[in-house]
Amino acid sequence: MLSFIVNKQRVNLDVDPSTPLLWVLRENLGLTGTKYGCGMAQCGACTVHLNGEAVRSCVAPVSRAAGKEVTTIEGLSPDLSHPLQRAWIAEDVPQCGYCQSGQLMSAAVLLREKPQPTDEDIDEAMTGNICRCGTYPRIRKAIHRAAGMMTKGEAR
Amino acid sequence: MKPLRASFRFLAVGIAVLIFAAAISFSVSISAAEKPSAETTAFAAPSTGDGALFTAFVSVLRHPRCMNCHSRGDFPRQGDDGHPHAMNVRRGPEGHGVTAEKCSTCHQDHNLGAHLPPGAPNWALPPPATPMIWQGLTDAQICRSIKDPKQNKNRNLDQLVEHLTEDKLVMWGWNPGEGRTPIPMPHEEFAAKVKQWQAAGATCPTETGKRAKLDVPGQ
Amino acid sequence: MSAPQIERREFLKFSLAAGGGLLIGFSLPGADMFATAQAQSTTVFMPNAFLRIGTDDRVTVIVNHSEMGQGVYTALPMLLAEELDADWNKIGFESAPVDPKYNHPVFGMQITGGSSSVWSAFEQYRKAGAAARGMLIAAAAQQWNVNPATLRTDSGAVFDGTNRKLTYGQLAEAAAKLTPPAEVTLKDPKTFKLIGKPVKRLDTSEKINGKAVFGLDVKMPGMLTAVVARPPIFGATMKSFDDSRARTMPGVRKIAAVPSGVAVIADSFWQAKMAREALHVDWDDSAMRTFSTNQMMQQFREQAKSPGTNVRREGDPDAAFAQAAKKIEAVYEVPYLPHAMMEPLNCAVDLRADTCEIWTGTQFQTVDRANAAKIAGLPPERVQIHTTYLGGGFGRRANPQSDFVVEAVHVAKVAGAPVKVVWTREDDMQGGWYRPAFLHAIAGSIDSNGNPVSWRSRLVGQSIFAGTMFEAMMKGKEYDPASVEGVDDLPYAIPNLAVESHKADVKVPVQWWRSVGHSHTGFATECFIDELAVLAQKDPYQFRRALLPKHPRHLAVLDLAAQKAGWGKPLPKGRARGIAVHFAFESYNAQVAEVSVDDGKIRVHRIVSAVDCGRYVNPGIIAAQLEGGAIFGASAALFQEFTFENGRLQQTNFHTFPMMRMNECPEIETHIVENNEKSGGIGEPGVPCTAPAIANAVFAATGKRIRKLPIRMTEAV
Repeated sequence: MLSFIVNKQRVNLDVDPSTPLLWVLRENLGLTGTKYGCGMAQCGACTVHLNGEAVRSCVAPVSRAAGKEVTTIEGLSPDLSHPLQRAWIAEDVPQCGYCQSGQLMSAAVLLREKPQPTDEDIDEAMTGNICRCGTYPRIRKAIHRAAGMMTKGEAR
Repeated sequence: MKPLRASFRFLAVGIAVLIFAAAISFSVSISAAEKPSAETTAFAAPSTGDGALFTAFVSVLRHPRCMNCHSRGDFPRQGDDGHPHAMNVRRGPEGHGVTAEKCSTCHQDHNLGAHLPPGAPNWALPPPATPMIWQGLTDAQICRSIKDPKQNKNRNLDQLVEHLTEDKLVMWGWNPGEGRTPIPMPHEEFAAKVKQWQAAGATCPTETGKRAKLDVPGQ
Repeated sequence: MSAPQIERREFLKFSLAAGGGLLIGFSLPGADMFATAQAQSTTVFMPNAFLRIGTDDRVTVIVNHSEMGQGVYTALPMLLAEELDADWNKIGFESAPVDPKYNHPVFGMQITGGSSSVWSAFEQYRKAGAAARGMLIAAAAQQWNVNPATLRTDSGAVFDGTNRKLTYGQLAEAAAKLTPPAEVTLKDPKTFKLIGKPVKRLDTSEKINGKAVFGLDVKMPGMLTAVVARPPIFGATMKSFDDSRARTMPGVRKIAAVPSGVAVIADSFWQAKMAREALHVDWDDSAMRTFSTNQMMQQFREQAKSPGTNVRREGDPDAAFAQAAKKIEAVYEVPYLPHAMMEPLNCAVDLRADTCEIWTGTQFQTVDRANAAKIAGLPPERVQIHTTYLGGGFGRRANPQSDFVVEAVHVAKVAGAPVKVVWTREDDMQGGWYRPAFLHAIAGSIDSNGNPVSWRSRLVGQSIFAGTMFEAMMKGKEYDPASVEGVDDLPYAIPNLAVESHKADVKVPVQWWRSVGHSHTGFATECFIDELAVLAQKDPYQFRRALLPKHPRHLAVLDLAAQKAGWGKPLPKGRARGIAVHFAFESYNAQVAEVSVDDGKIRVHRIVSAVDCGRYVNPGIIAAQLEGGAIFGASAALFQEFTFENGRLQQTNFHTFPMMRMNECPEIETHIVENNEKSGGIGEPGVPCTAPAIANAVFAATGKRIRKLPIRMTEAV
């Protein structure tokens, strides 16, 4: 039995510990906001937080989560109130939307560690996340906007 | 699916070997002693005073499996050609990457398979304060830098030898996972040579003024 | 018709009941906006197929095109809401079921493609809204016992002269009893409140909180997951398979042959994938075992040496070429390319004795339904397709053979339970239906004044229509119009002009790919016109201008892009600009790219893209499509190719098939030409100019010509 916290809820699961965390989240826990894109840590669509750090859940065995805390896109905020979500809306970022969960989860770690990121910081945090629709320019703008909101104390 | 994958891997390894061969031939100043050699045995040691005991195993340190994390620039490298790590990965404040692209974002404590991120415990680059860059250094310089506590995270000789011979991350070089060239010198031989070097006083080679031109292409 | 009324709300209910634990609610696109099934049950007024109004004032727009990122779930509701005078905050959307009512008014089937959603819906959705508005006014007039002509509408309500107000929700029940008007009057565009405004997308919320349901997210009670072992080489067939180990693996329910390969059906995806790795299949791959793209391109080069089928001919280009003062010949080559949507293909099927329900992200509902019905052995009316969000489409999800849908129905037949077929990224990339590789051999010449006198394009490549139901679209022509689009209508004033087409008989499955033929004709023609400009020692922008006297809309975008990019103004050392203009999908696009080349590595710093897509609906979405189009085009220009050796595809995932990433992405500026022309497309027109603009900029920076994509400086001439 494997036990860990997902979005602040404890889960106990009887699964093969080598199963990638991604598929446990999606299939065992029904958290389908985390996406499958490549299965080899190339695209970032499956990014979640493991004890607050960005992790590609498609290559992380679920055993790595044991006793730890996982946050998925569903747990980023309960009500779209995360500054990044508000900025994503303001900049109309998503097109097809498939990669955006991963983009947001990466951006959330960036902002936590660098609340006023430069363009270079954005390049260093976000280059692991592919977007086929080409929303990069808007993602960049939205991250800057969210950072601005946080400075102005608009963040939760 | 299976046959396809198998042959693709075979091909990839073939290409990797070719590239490696090319990389070696570029590194004109690598001395014969540094070349992985089947004839060199751990116990037929050269004389002890001239640093030859160090040059007997320096080829391991210069191997892409080691050099890709001990190269110039604030980023790791990949492949036998030592190209900069994909995805703009950086060294970061502790050698663990930055923000949303830390080593542990993709790398586990074990290898995952062909074309998948390799892994070992404590997968990381040297921290920026002690980046331990060997690229472009002579054998003598490499030797001095690894022994220098100011550069080697305050390791004494015993700890240095332990790092070289027992650290899981270093050991990974001999088991780098499918599709990557392992360090050719057997690990046992390498460990024995390191210990031999230590036992004989860990002498560094004298400076020849000769400089390895480009251990890792692409910089 | 006796179609089963398969209500998606039924489905929603049992999905919610299933699983337990952390299982989140399941809903189709848009449903989240209305929060509960209860709110939907208040729906009473459905004046036509395109909207419902509830007593709670909610307006649900039923969208007959698939949302794959291009913004139809916002643009089409805008059209309807404009004429309805709806309260935009109360607008929701839903994907249309398959039904002839939802057919594309021009293409005669349900399809999302050809950058046609907005222009084809422009009147359709406005009329639907206007009809509903008329009925709501009539209902209010009845209630107040006044002349309808004295009433006005605004923001979801009807008002009389004294500002008495009845909301659409309050009028819904009464309006439902009225007969829809036969004729409607549409608004004067000058009075538009929504159309033409950068209204925020309606689908953003559910795409940033994990609730948007893509095909891959579909879950049904008792659903199994399947992966299929498909042939490693196109045209290969299965001889036998050994599943002795695979079938004993955890979670495996069934392993069975299907026409496309061997289906491995298990409780979960990972179990199915693990079992597939343990499966051994013997293929007869003799059909294409020796196929190589290198050899194929060599053959294309040979073919291009002889005249092809005539597509267009004016004057005598060969004679003019022979006599011209200066001449140049160039061969341009582009590779096979996959669509590589971020969401790999997938399809969920619940096959029962007398119904077949399909959940998938498709661009091709009518065709998929017909193809699925054949396999299911049911009449098409007994097959329903629930269109989920598409994690990218770019043409791949409109497959003439419905490959991913048909296969899933085959798998459902052997599964004996609802089943979702999931393609891994490698499956998706190796699955075929690529943009065909193409070769353009172009010969051109100029006179002593530097004016072009001849141009002859010979194209060699596979037809995307050959062998499909769309072969009829070739209308008896000896060539495929989709192969030559964008060169058959070359706009430049050149007195002697010929376009010829050679068929290539290759068995790699090919298909439309974002911007279709224009994806290569734009590259070849806009690079070659640049080569002629340099031959004439003229500025490439001014050279084009002089050749477009009869094409004011080409000129307008060209001028706008050049002006905004600062054409001719100094740049930092090492940087240079390139320009391109192209007409595709009823819209005009010009781009200026700014690049530098350092040690063989190309950096694109900035792209300025100007479009004339006629009367537009949402400029915010247009900007997004142009940004995305340029990035899509730049990825192809700089990084991407599919190659084959010994019949096998050499690229299988993003490590060998790179995409442009954040740190490589240029600044992109977009501009729209304002006019009142008929609406054109926007999803595709922003792609074709990017590669030639970059290639021409590389020439300006280095003096090296790029004639092959992806760009490699080592292959520049």
